[in-house]
Parts: sequence; C-alpha cells; structure tokens
Amino acid sequence: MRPDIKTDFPLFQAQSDQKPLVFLDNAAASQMPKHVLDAITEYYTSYKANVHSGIYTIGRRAVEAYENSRAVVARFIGAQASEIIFTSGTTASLNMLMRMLEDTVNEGDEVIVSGMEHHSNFIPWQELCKKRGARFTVLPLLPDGTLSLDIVRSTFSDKTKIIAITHVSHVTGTVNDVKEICRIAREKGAYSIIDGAQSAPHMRVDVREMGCDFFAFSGQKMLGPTGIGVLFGKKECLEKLEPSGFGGGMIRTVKSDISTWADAPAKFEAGTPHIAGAIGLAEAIRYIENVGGVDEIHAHECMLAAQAREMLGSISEVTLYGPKDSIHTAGIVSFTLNGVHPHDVAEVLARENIAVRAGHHCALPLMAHFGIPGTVRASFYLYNTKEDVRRLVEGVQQVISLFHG
Amino acid sequence: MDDLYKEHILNHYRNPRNKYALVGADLVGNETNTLCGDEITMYAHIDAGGIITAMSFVGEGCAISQAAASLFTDFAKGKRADEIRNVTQQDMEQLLGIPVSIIRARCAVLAVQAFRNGFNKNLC
Repeated sequence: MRPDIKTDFPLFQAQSDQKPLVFLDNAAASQMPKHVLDAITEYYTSYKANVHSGIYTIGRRAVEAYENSRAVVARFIGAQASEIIFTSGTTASLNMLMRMLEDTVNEGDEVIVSGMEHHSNFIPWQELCKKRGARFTVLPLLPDGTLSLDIVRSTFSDKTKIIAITHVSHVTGTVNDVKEICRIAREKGAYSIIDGAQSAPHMRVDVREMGCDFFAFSGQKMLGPTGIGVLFGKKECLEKLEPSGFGGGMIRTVKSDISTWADAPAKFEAGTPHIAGAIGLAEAIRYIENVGGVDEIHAHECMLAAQAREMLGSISEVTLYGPKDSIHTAGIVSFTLNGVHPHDVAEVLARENIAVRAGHHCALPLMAHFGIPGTVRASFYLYNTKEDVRRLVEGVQQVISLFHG
Repeated sequence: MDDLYKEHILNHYRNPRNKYALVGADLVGNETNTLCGDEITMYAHIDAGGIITAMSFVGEGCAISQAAASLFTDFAKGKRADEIRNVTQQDMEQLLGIPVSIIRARCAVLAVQAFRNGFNKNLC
C-alpha cells in the first residue's frame, strides 16, 4: 500500500490534539476517503433529485448516477446490474431475503447456518423456521472455531432448503470454503446464501465463480457511507421470488383488484433508495481499484494480522482465537487477556487513542463455543500500518502492567 | 492514564466484597448487560422493617461492573430496600469516585438494575 494513504482520509487528518488515531475496528466501520465524501457532496449540492420519475435535467443525472453505481457494484463482484439490489446494509439484505424466501420453506423443511454467524445471519433464519415449522440446524464448529466441510456435507438432507453461511468470520477472520459449500447446496437443490460483509471489502469476490444464489454486503465496511448495502441475487432466483416491500418504484401496474411488479431489481426496491449512498459506494469501489485493488489490500491486511498474531501470541497473558495458520484467515485478530475483561482492555487502549472492538461481536453462539463472554478484536484495512500493530501491542502491554502489575 | 482504573476500583475488582450467594435470600434479582452479555445476580436479606441486613452478588464482568457491585453491596447494608432500588447512575459514579462514559454507564448500574429486578419480582 502507498505509505501516505492515510492522507486521503480526512478523519485521520483531524486528530491533532493527541497521539495519532490507530483505527482497528474496520470490521465494524471503515473510514471514507475524500473522493467518496466529494462524490456524495456533489450529488447533494449539484443534482439532488429522486430517481423514479424526474424528466428534468438533474432528475436524469440522478438516475444515471444511481444506475451507473449499480453497474459498478455488479462489475466489482462479477454480477449483472439487474442482479444488484440496493439495501441499507447486510442486515437489511438478509432480513429482506428471509421475507422473500418465506414461502419456499414449509413445515418439516430445514435451514442450515453455522455456529460462527453474526446474529444478522442467524436470527432471521431462526425466526423463519419458527414461523414455518421448519428445522433450524446450527453447524457445530471445530475447537479452533472453523467449519468442517465433512460436517457440512453430512448435515445436508433432502429437506434442506437453505444454507446461510458467512464468507469470512467477523470474529476470528476464518475464511470459509464457500465455493464448495455452494456446490453442495446446488447438488442438494438448496439455496446458498453468503454473508459477504467481511469479504467483499477485503478480497476478490466473483459470485459466478463462487456459485452462490445470494450474496450480501455493506457499503460502510468498504470505505463507503453508512446506510447503504447490497443484496446480490441470481437472475433466475430474483425473477421467481416475490418482493418483501411494496410502494413506489417497484410496480408494473396497479389496479383496484390486483397489482403487478416491475422486473428485478426495481421489484425489490420500493420507495426512495439511498441514492447518495449508492453513489458513495460506487466511488469507494473506484477508489479501491485505483489504489491497487482488493488483492493487494488483502495481502497487506493479512501481513499486518499475521504480525499482530505473532507479537500478541508471544505474550503469555494473551489467548488468540481462530485458526493457527494465516493462510485461511483474513485481516482480523481476536484475543483475550488472562484476568482482564475485554471491555477493560478496550477502555485502556482507547486512552492511548487505539480503537478496537470488545465484547461478543453479535456472535453469542460463537462465544458459547469458545466458552468466553467476549474477545478483543483488531480488524485491519488498507490504511493500517506496521506502526499501528506496534502501538496495539504496546497498548496491550500497558493493560497487563495496569491489571497485573 | 486517567483515574478510571485507579487503585480504588482495581482493588474492588481484584478483591470484591460480598461476592457469594446468600443462603435463604429474601430478594434475588439478575440482569444482563446487553453491551457485553455479562450477567450479575444480586442477593439480599431484608428484615420486617424493609431494612437490608445483608447483600451479596455473583457474576463475572469488567472492572467497572464488578467494582460497582462490590461497592454497592457495602453501601446498601443497613439502608431501606425501597430507597436502594432508586439508586441512580450519579450515585454509582459517586461510589466509584469517577464519571463513566455513556458506553460504560450500563456497567456502572448493572448491579443496581439487578437489585431492582429482584425487588420488583420478590417484594412488589
């Protein structure tokens, strides 16, 4: 990565009164480069209009920018523009998808998730099963928190209608073999749903090569603004599924006895979308491609995470979670400190202007698997540096001397 | 380092007072911190006049919630239960000797809330 890349991000320039900010909560929220902020501001100051019906000049420009953003997102993950539905985020994508698939799950059917899911790829399917009288199966994990493909294979049955799995664990950084999981699902005639919140911002994603039916991710975790997300759905799936929301922009005809729907993706985007958000997300993707692309970002983050694992791992009070090898992990490191609650670790680090996440990370089933209330998580992105890792480790040593000293 | 982790708090965290389950408690209440999932259970003996004669707690948590619970049990002894259930965040900050941020406020009042839950369940 370019060494001065932080200068592209106004937030890192705004901190002058204290030690430079070490931002290691990228799995929750990423910062925005000025390119993205400028694109959003331009929409709000030069051509703010709705996207549904404005014939006038700025109305047309808004439609062009919004649909062009859809095309940029589609190209980024190897999809067609008609397969990209804009939502408010991964959670909204998955909840909406749950409503869309509701009618395809019946009593006695089965939905499978894994024990490492974020609550947003867990509860919607649990609720769906409760409502439809279906079986909700949670794939057990190996001791290191990884998934065994043998267990995935043997769990599938003729009754399995859906498997919903995360691409990359937001807690341990474990990368799942989603291509193989989607292949198994296809063979068994089940829908495959991939939570890409932690993969799309950080590594190459090609939904065709992956073979998934649905793929969800968030803009705000990939240098975009909050409130914008994506649901990819395979064309043939979107064509036959019913919309989950109704209103303006999603209809073909409306009569007093019956209404019919527009083609996808409009069918699934009732109401005014987050136009500025979509424009900002597309600009974030352009920025990512211009600074070297996701492959380079992935290599950079993995290098930092491996270094953090090695340095933290050499401290006797530290316990690391997740697989030992760095080949199957992304730029996320989770750890605990013997005798110190994760929130106390994060609080002390915060006083050194180091931002990490502490707690259960909306993954209580995974915490139960590890038998702990929570972890401290450092998650890296393109602007993080070896100096950030050094500051993190130094901060952890301060926590130890405060609590154990 | 500011004084959030001053010796007073770390002392109560490392050596919590009254950390056990009271046998035959008149009041048992628990609460979960939605922020972190930490759970705490409060126990109290309350006499016929409504006075707390003993209070204890069980649970794991961060330094703030554990120190707060420890301080709270000492503070509550000998006082009226219906007054203790109205202990506020400001009262807890005074006991802890520090102000707490909006994010850690739940940690500071976790024990009070657990006591209140028990009061509402057992004594109302």
